[in-house]
Amino acid sequence: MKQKVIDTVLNLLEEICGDDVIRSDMDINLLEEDLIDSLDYTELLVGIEDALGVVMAPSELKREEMDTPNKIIEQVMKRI
Amino acid sequence: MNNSILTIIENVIKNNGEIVAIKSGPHSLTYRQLGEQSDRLAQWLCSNVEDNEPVMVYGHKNPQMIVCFMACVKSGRAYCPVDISMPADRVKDIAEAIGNKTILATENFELNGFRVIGKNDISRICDQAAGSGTAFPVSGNDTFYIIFTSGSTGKPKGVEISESNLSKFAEWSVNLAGARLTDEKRNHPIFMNQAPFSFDLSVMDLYTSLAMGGTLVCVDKAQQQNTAEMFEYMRNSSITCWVSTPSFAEMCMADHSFDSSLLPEMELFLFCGEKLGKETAEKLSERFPQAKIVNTYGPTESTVAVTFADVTPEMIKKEGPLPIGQPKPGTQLVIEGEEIVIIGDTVAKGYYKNPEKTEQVFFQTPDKDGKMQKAYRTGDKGFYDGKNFYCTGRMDGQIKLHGYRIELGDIENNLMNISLIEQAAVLPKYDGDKIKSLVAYVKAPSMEGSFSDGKKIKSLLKEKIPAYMVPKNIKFLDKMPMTANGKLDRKKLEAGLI
Repeated sequence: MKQKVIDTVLNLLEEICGDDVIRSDMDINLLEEDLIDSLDYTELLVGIEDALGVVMAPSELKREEMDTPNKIIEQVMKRI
Repeated sequence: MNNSILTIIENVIKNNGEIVAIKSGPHSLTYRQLGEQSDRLAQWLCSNVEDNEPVMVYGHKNPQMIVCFMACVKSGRAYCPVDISMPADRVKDIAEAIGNKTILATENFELNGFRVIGKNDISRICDQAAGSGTAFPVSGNDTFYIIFTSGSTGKPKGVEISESNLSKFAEWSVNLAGARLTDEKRNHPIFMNQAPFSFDLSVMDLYTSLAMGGTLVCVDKAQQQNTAEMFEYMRNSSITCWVSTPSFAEMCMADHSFDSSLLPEMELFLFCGEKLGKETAEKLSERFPQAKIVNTYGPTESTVAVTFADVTPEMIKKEGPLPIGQPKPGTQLVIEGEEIVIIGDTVAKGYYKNPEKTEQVFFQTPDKDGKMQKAYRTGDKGFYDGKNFYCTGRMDGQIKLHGYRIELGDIENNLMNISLIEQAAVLPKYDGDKIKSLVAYVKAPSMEGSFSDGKKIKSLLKEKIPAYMVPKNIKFLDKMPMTANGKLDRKKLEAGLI
């Protein structure tokens, strides 16, 4: 399951961020590097819900808990 | 309602002085305070500022911003709102374009060569007894505000809206909102403000709320970054009228808790600033079955919005885009070729101190009754289906990203001004027919094209243009594709053929 989560999150992030740097550096800070904004988060969360059935509400998550690919994967795994 | 917007607000101040006019986080201001403070600041401006040029008002969502706006127009001067998100270089360009050496700032701000009246000074002036000079408020064709928008040459251009333009707009927007609210809410509507005051969407919530004697609840930048806090604030504020870009509503709807149980008082959603998608409208009507949804359309050059459509289930079911609807009273829409031309009483005076640009798009023409009226060529493509108007896109390089109006040429010119870059092209990246982000293609031979090189270019660009205009991705090319007659081949770039 973890591999499916990793693949899904990275595929979504690569599409949203428009850069494959998120694969080579999974601890890259997406906010500081301007790779993701508020609306991108919306797309990411909707994408995760559609692909994995995991509901993640923006009001339950802090930005700091979701600012790198690894942290996003960790948050999804917690909810599976 | 045939009065000027200022007279209407003065009446609210006289009759409902203790109602909260503006609330922003922990700060709030009643109508009485708004009236007194803006009178004092207007007197001060008359006695201490020789310049009659428009005044830049710099800041974010502090209620003091509205005191400054009111004070400027009461002193006979237009105001120009500039948000803190604007980079220093662009603020300087705007300050120089305006020409007034005095600036009012409600947040920390300094600018060489200008006298900046800061937050504490403004508070001190607003607390003192007013002087004895007579202030002559702006009226009729006098400019009420100037809002700067992205310009294709790389320098922003200022749209001049007259007192008469704004009064006509508010007359319509008050009727539009009033007719869709229940009696109870109409007597004291609570409007939400999402957009910064430098974006003319804010004019829709600010002046409609003030003219109706409502309370304007501002959601600031920090709150917009924290969904839980923002939702709590919205709930505690009992918002009844929502004014935002569709993008902002989409962002809120990503959270399943955003529905009528969170905001039970919500009766009306007013959208402007970008295309309202059917999916957004449909989802929203499911989440807020009791609320009405109105799609509006209009460029800054015709005072916020000139058409409206009540979104119905039939419209959502019908094929094609949602309509922008019917023109407001006093306005006529004409399709010339493919282009939407707006004729009527809210068409702006023109671009500030820029007669050439003004002449290119503004002109006089007889309306359907034969009366000469001001007209504006929008550059928007549209059509009329015999019942409603539709807007289908742009005829040039202007785009809307998350509600922000951007000239691609503005970004390209600022990229070319970076010494490392020889050539640049900026293209929108689409998801269906919606623009998701921007991609810049650059030729920069001295750079390797690494991720950190892209980061460097973005940070240099951020010093010149607002963050929302900075392309998300920078792609390095050894050679830019050219057409046979030596022009940049955008089609090739768009098709990803490089």
